[in-house]
Amino acid sequence: MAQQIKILSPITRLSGVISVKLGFQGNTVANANVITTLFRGFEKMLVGREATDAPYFTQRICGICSIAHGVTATYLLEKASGLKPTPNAILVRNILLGSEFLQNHLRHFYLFELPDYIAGPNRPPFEPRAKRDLRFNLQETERLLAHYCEATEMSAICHELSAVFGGKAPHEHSFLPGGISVSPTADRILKAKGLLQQIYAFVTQKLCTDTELLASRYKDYYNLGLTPSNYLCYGLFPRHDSAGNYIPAGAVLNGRCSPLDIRLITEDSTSTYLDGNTNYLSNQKYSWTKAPRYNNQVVEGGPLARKVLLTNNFEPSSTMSRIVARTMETRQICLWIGQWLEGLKEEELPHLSPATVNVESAVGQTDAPRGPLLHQASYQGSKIQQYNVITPSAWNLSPKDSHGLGGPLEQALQGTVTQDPNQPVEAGRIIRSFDPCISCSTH
Amino acid sequence: MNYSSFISKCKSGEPLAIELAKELANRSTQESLVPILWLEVTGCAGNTISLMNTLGPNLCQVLLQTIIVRYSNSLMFADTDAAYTILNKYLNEPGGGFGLVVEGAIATGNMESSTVVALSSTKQITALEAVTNLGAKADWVVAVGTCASFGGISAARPNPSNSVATQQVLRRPVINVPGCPANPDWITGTLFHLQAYGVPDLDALNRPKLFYGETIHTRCPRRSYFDKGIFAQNLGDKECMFKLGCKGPMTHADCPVRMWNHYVNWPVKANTPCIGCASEFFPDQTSPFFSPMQLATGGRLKQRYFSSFLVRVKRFVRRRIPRWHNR
Repeated sequence: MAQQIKILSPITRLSGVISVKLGFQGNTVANANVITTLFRGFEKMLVGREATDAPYFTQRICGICSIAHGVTATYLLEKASGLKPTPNAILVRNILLGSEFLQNHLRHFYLFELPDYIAGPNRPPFEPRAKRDLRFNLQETERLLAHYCEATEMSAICHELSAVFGGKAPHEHSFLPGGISVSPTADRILKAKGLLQQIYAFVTQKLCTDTELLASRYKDYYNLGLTPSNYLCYGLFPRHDSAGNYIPAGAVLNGRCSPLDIRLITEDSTSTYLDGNTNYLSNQKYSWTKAPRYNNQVVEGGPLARKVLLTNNFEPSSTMSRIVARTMETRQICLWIGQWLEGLKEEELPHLSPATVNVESAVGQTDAPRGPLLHQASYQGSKIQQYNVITPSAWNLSPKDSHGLGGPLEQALQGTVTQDPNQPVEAGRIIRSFDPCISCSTH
Repeated sequence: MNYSSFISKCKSGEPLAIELAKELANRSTQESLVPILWLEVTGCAGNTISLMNTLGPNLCQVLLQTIIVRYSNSLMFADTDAAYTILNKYLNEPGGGFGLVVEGAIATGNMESSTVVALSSTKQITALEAVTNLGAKADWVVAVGTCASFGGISAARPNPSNSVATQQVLRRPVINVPGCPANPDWITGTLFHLQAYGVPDLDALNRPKLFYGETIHTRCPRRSYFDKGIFAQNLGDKECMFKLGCKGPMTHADCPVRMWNHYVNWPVKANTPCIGCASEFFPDQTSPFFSPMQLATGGRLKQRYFSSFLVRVKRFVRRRIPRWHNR
C-alpha cells in the first residue's frame, strides 16, 4: 500500500526552522524525514580567524544555548594552550553554565512544551491553534497558564543569574580560557544567592508539580516516541576539588554502560546537503544536519541520557521520560548551584591574558542542555585552519545514514499510531520532547 | 467583567486567570494595535530569547498588553497547519495592517532555498520570498539583531549562505535594531514606540537615536582612564581595555548606561572588551576580538568613523598627561 504523505511545517515552539515529512500507512507512521531548513556555515567562517575568537564567535551558533558553545570552545582552547583555571574559577564557570541550563529547561517546559497540552487565552499568539486531546480541566488549565506567565519571568531571572558573572546573556563574555574575568565578590555572590532562591522556589513548587501532573494525565506518552535508547554524555560540570565531573561521561549502548571514547564518533552526510541546491521533499538528501554516529550506532543525548549515566539506572527513552528527566535535572542543578555558591572564596581581581595556541589540533567537549557538544580544531600558528562542531541536536535530529537508519527523533516518530493522520498532535509532542535546536544542528 | 461578577466568580471558585486574560485581550485588541509578524530567518533566534529576557514588563505582560504577535515561530501556540495558514494568508493578501519584524539575515543567490521558513507538498517558502513579499506590504519593517540589520555573523566571511541584511532586499526604509543579540529594551522600546508614538527618531543607519545615539566609548565608565592614557594590561584589570581590543569607539549603543539582563551587568563591567556586536562592522571588521582596533580592522574602516578619535589616542599615548580641564 502506498504511503500517504503528510508534511508538518513549520514545527513551531523550538529554536530555528524545521519541518517533518511523515509517511502514513493507515494511522501508523511508517517513515519520518526530519527536515532542517537552515544553513549558515560556521565551520567555513571560522577558517583563518584567530583561535581566541572562537569562544565568542561560536556562541552565535545558538541563541538559547550560547554559553554551552562558548564553554566548549573555551575547554578546547585550554587544551590547545595548556591554561588551567583555578578551583574558584571552575565553580563560577559551573554556576554560569548551570544557570543557562535552568533558563533553557524552564523555557522549554513552559513556553515550548506545555502549549501542546493546554488551551491558552483567546488572543494571538495563543490563538488560533489546533485543539485536540487536551486533558486538563479548567482549574488545572488556569493554574498552568498562570505558571506559564510566571515562567516567562523566572527564565529571564535565570539569565540574570548568568549575567551576574557572565556580563550578558545570551552570548556571554567572561568565561574565557584560563578562568573567568569576573571575580566572585561578596556583592555578586549575595545577588546570585537571592536570584537562585527565587528560581529554586519556582522549580520545586511549580515546575515539579506541573511535570507530575502532566506525567500522570498523559501516562500513555511513556509508550509513545520510543527510541533505541542508546545514550551518550561527554560529562558535565567539572569538579573543582578533584578530577572528573558532577555528571560522568560515558556511553550506554544496548543497555550497557561503557567509558566514553571520542574516536568512535563518525559523521555521515548521506542525506545531508553540502551546497545550495535544495529539494527538501526529496528522499535522498533532505536536511542540513549531518548524521553523527557512535560506534556506528544511533545514540541520543540530553537530560535523560545524563540521568541514566548519573544514577547508573537504565531507563527507556520515551516522550514522557525525556520530559520528566529534564525537570529532575533542573531541580538537581539548582541544588548544585547552591553548593557551588557556598564553596566560593572571595578573591582578588583575576588576571587573564589571551590564550596562545601551542598545539596543532585539539578537541573540547562537554554536555549542553540538549546533549553532547564537541568542538574540534586544527591550528596554523595562532589561526584556525579547520574547525568542526558536532552538536547535540545533530545527534538527536540526524537524518538517515548510509545504512538507511534515521536518528533518534526519526525512529521515535516511526511506528507512532495517531488518532487523526491529518492532525497528528502526537507528532508535535514527540518532536518537542527532544528540545530540538535547529540553529545548532545545522550551524 | 464588572465588580459584582468578579466577586461572584471569586465566591464560586471559578477560574479567574482566563477571564482576566480575556478581559485584557479585549481591552488591548483595539484597532490601535497593529499585529506583528515576527519572522526568524537565517540566524540563531537569540533575539527572540533576548526578547524573552525582558523584565518589568515581563514577556507575558508584553504579549498580553503591549504587542499582538500574530506569527512567531518560537512564541505562537499554533503549530504546523494552523501556523502555515496564518503565514499563507498574509503572503496572499493584498496587504497592510501589520508590522513585520525580521530576525536573522536573508540567504540569497544560489543559497536562497537554504533557509525555508515553511514548506508544503507543492512549495517552499524561502526567507527571501517571505521577507520581500511581507516587507513590501507591511506598515513598517523592523530588523532586530545585527544579522537582520547589517548581515552580522550570518554574513561573516566567506558568507557561505550568501546572507544579506533586510534592507538590501527591500525597497523601503527598514528600522534597524542591531545587537548580538539586541537588548530586550531596544526591541520592546522600538515596538512600543511604533505603536504608541509612530516611527522613532532615526540616525543615518536607520537606528533609533534613543538607543544608538552615541558610541559605547562616549559613555563608558572607564573613559577617564582612556583620557589619561592608562590602559589595562590583562583581562580583569580595571582600566581602559582599548589595547586589549575594545571596539567601544566604533560601536553605537547605550550598553554602558542601560546594561543587560535586568540592568545587572555588561561586557566591560565583566572586565572584557566590547566586541562591537551592535556595530555595522560586526564581526569581520571588529575581529580579532582581542586585538586593538587599528590592528583588527587593518585600516579598512572608513576614516570618518574614528579619525578624530585616532588622533586623540596618539596624542595621549605620546604625552601621557591628564587633561582634566578639557574633560
